[in-house]
Amino acid sequence: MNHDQGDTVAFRFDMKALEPRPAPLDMPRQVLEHAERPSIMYMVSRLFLRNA
Amino acid sequence: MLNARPSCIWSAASSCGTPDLQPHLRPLRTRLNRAGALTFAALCTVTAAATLTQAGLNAGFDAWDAAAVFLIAITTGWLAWGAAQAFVGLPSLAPLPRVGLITHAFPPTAILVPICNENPVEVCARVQAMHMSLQKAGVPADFAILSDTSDPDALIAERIALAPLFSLDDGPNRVYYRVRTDRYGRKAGNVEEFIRKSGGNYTYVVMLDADSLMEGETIRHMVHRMEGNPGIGLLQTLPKIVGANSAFGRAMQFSASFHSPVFARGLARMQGQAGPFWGHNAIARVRAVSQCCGLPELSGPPPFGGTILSHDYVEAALLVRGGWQVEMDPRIEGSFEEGPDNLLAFARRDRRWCQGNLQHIRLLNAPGLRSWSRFVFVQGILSYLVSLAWGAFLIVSMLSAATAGTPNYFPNSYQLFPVFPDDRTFQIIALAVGVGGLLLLPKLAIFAESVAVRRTAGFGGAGRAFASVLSETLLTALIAPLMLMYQSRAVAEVLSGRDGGWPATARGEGRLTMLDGWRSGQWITLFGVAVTIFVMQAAPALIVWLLPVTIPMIIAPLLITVTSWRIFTSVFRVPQETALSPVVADYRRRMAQDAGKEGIPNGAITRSA
Repeated sequence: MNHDQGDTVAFRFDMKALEPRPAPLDMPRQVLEHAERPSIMYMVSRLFLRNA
Repeated sequence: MLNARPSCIWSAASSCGTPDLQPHLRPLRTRLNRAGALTFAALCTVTAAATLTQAGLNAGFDAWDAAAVFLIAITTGWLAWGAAQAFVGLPSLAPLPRVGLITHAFPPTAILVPICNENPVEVCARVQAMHMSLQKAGVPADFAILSDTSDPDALIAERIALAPLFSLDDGPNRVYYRVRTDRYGRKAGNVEEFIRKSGGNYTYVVMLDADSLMEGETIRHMVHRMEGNPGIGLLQTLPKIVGANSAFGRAMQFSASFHSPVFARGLARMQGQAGPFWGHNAIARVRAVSQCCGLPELSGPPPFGGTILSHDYVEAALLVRGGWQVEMDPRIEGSFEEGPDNLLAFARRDRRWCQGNLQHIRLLNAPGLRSWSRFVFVQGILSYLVSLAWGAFLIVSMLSAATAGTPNYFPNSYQLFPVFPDDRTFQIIALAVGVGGLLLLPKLAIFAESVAVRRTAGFGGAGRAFASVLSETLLTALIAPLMLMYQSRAVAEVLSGRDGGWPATARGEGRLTMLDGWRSGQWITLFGVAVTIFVMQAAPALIVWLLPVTIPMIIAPLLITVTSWRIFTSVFRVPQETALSPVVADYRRRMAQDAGKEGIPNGAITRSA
């Protein structure tokens, strides 16, 4: 995800050395939306398809 | 992780030692304050609605009257809620708790400075000033400048300007810098990426904006507070605005220093342990953030789907959902930010916030949130919808007057004397006085409080402070119709599905020319003229009542321009000018030294407002 974009510019610092030291942490995505309920039409069509 | 809870919440916190629970945050007090404020707002709402209903009944209650009653109930309720917040905040809080020395090693702390196409010279000077302040305070905290800068020229300028920071000795205050090309999640995603990759190194992160400044002692105090109460997930300060020069900016700066502490005390009392997060000038526990603040993208396209724009409110709600306390303490000094210097910059920022807050409509039903967190979302949403309600109320009032027929003096067939319609003037004046009172009383009460606790000295004494309060009120009243128009347009754009994005404010737009003012305000002028012509034709009796709205609209370009002009610092004086904070003074000194510095290419350098 991180890239050194200043390669074309003379820069006396090692960009990698300037980056924060790695120490990964888990950061799960939070649930903010309810699972979408299937519509009645979808359920009816499923029912007919299953019986077909 | 929906039900992820801290391992050391209240019950466990007690076993960790005596938690540092502030008296005003006790749950019973919080409930009483909320109940009191809600009751006051409800009473004002009912009174306003009843008064207008009575006025309507006197002359035959019709559909226009019903609409007007509905709209006045919403708007008055909102005003009363704001006034209640000020009244709840009038009594002082207990003195700021003294924090003891940390006996064990100072907990690893990182100060995060997320930037995105900012002015790098300013960023460098701010970090240098805070670096020095931290060293003086003996606080061993690292800086992490997290760049989302995308413009190649700006990126080159950024690296050149920030180079002095990279030369600093590897002492207790290291400065890290990384550039992210994948700008997932904007600012929240920028911080999140740091937590995911490097969060394990730190116990706390101090979150800043590009224009934030904090004293080293303030950061020390906040770390101590977090150490003293293992249940706190986030501690928010009330940053003071500094560096304003224009009439508009200085009025905002004065209001933020004079009125905001009282409003913030009220907010702190009502929000209790489910306080706000404003996205910067706050400290957070890394474990709490990593457990609770991984924000998803919302389903569907912007403006209601996609990246969560006003992420801070959501993160606060998620921390509370996860069992952490979110505390806001307006007593903490030494926390600063800058504000927009003109009405256009303010309106542009407001457009972003409008979209972010309205997006919270999608989150009102989010699973597991505390009811107060949902109520906070509702407040944020209402803060923009109320502008529409005010506009609609004015339109309904005009149309009601315009469509009213001529009075029937002889409603009965056999009638000797005419029947005159009841005069509604008393009710209308009572309503106007009531609404005006809700606007003015909190400010006057705050002035009385400041005199009582001898807080006016920093504002140039009681007389000068009172003059500033009156001037700020007058200026606010003048620009209120303009903000009504800008906010109504913003709400209409968002509701019609138009994504405004999250653009930064262009740099160097402090002082505006008349041409700038005309370009940005002409549509308001035209609207004001159209309204005036319509009212003169259809309901001339209303013209006087509408003058406080129509005159500012007609002169909008002039107001926008003139309020952006620099004014004397003796007007709207604030304490942070007379007794300059060391970190602010150091920052200004460095900026003065850097003035005219060579080697910084001109590019798309912007700063966030």
